[in-house]
Amino acid sequence: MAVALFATATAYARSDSTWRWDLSAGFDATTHTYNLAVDDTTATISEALVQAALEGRSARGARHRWRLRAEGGLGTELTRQRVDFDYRLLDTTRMDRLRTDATFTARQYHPGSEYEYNSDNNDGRLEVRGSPVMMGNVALELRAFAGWHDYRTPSTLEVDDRDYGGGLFLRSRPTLERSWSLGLRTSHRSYPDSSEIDRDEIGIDLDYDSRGLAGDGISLFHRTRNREVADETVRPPAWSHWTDIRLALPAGSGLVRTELQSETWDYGYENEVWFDSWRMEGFLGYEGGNMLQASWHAGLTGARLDAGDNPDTYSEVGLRGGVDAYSGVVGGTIIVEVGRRTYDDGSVRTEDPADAFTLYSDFTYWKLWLMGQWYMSRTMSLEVLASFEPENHTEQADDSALGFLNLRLVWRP
Amino acid sequence: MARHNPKNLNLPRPWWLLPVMLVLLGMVLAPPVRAQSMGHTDLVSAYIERTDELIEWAAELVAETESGTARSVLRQAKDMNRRASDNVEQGRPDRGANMARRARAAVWHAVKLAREAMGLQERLRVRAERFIELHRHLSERARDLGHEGALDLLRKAEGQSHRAREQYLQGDLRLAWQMFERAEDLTSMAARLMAETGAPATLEQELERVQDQLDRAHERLGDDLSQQARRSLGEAEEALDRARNHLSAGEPGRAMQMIGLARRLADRALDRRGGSGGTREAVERQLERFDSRLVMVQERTVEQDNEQARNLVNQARGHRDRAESALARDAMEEALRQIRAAHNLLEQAERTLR
Repeated sequence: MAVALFATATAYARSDSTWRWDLSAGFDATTHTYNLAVDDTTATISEALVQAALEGRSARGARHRWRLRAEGGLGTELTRQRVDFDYRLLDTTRMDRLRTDATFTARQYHPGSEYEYNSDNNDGRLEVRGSPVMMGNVALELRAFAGWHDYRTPSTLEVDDRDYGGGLFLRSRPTLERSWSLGLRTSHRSYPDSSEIDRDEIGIDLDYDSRGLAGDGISLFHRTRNREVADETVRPPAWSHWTDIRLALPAGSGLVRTELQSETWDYGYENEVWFDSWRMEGFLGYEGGNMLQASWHAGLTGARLDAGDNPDTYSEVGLRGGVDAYSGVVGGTIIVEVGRRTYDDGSVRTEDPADAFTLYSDFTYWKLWLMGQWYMSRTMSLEVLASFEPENHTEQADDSALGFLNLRLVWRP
Repeated sequence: MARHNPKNLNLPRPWWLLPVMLVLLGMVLAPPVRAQSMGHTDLVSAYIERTDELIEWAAELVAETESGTARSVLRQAKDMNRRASDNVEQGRPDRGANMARRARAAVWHAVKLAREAMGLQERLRVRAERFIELHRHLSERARDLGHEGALDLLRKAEGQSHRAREQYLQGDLRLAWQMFERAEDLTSMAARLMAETGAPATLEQELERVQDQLDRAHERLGDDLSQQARRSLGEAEEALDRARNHLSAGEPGRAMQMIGLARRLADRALDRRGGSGGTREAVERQLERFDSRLVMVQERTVEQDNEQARNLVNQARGHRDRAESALARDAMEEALRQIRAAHNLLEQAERTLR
């Protein structure tokens, strides 16, 4: 497949297309600390790796636009290969009339890998979109996709799957000020080794974005899905609704930012792990400065999970602040959030009092997030991504911490 | 839609268990003297047996999720309960009771992880589709604008989403979710960067600001330039010219990239401004050079009796003295400005004397 993609891309490559390659070496680590009965358990996996990538792009403004990126990585835990290819055919008004996206990923685990599930596997996906009909500034778009995921040695959590589907969308001609799309989408996913959980989905997507070049405006996304499972006694059917609203209004020299997300899950029947819920999450804050030099933001976060009388129902409030700077020799982002989650009643009462237990306890959380880069020269940079999220519970046994670190020395000649 | 009693998980409930459990709980926490009775051993065995039933029940729940952590915790619960049973068989009921209690806590922990995982599993699937769509859209826009800064952030976001997928495949859904959220953050940053740097007015302001920075670098460094520093400043000027061209051609992303490059080159020039290193040394050296030049200019001024040159020399000396006092106050920027002005005036005086 990689060879075919490469051949296609080079066929379209013109003398003014660009090819770049990069080489990186670094270190990845993940850590997950949780309490097991009376002892703390820390699962840590670290991996040193080197990676090389080649990326080609069509010339800007070309009618046939393409991008091909092929990368390979060798780590102490895994060897990875990935190929991404996309192609777009634009008409004279710069509207996409045809586009193709293809990805392929392969992973080979090394003997003695720290990873628990270590069967070699590969997955891929191909999607084609075409707009045969234009109605003024609106295009009728047809979509089709197919994908797979294969394991060398399938197991409980290593399950082969296949999926395919399509959609019918109306899409506006995108401008710098506004774009929208509305459509119907359907898909089928099958699991060759456990066909009882095969599923069909159908749903609608709505996307509207009026955030212009200055960054102010509104974006609205809504998705409704209905899921049917082959054997409903194994997995319940479900409706889900997801809405994401982001609003930015100029205020003084900065922007007032509001973000609101709503997720609803409504299952055909509930049991101990499948339960109806409505989750709301939001942020209200102010953003000042200029990302070219240094910008900052600060605000309030909040969340509410309403799962009826289930012990999972909670409220959460927090404070978030951060600074960004991108154009200097040293740049990046630091974001800190601290907050408190309170469960309405995290306990489970059973008919047998001896089995009653507290499932969830209230906690104070921290979210620390760092993304930084140091341009040591025009071609060499040092990059770091790190995140750490400790939880301090009222029940000490529930304390946990999650984190990861990615460190890379990158050479882009 | 069928509802279940949400507070009542559907646990297996043998009728004889309630009195046994109540007595057992008391025994587990009771003083060792009572715990050594034969009845205590039976009750601990019953507790272990009940925990086995709960493990079987929890295994069915955990099997419905893709949480590797829940599976792992439940495996350990099973192992601890087996060890509890071994302890009882070997005549150590107290140790067995303690181990069984830990196993029971681990069962509930696995159930909690399974419930949390199921929510994350569904959310990750839905959000991943949206992420791919948004990432694709922004990448196209960044490529169309030639915005390398945004493309760099989007590459990082893509890499982060791949790592999140690897964690998902490992069944560590909380870590996958954390990584995925960071990938979403990086995508939002790329969108903001494009929004902020895409506005022509913002870029023009930034062009002016970097041009000022370059002018100041020239002023501060004067003739005190190493070859490398001179080359960096030249390249910075060139990058700024290219930024202007890109901006005129409607390529804000490339303009932004060139502005960033110009700034970095200017910074580098300041770092390589010659052999002296610090600003203080540079000012001191320029003061010395001024004084040696001044002697010659003053001699020629007297020889030619040139009034204009005399005025310029006096002004230059004034700036020189102000540079020296600024140096004494550690006001380096001012000292550099003053000594540079002094040199300029002295140069003008020299020209009038030719």
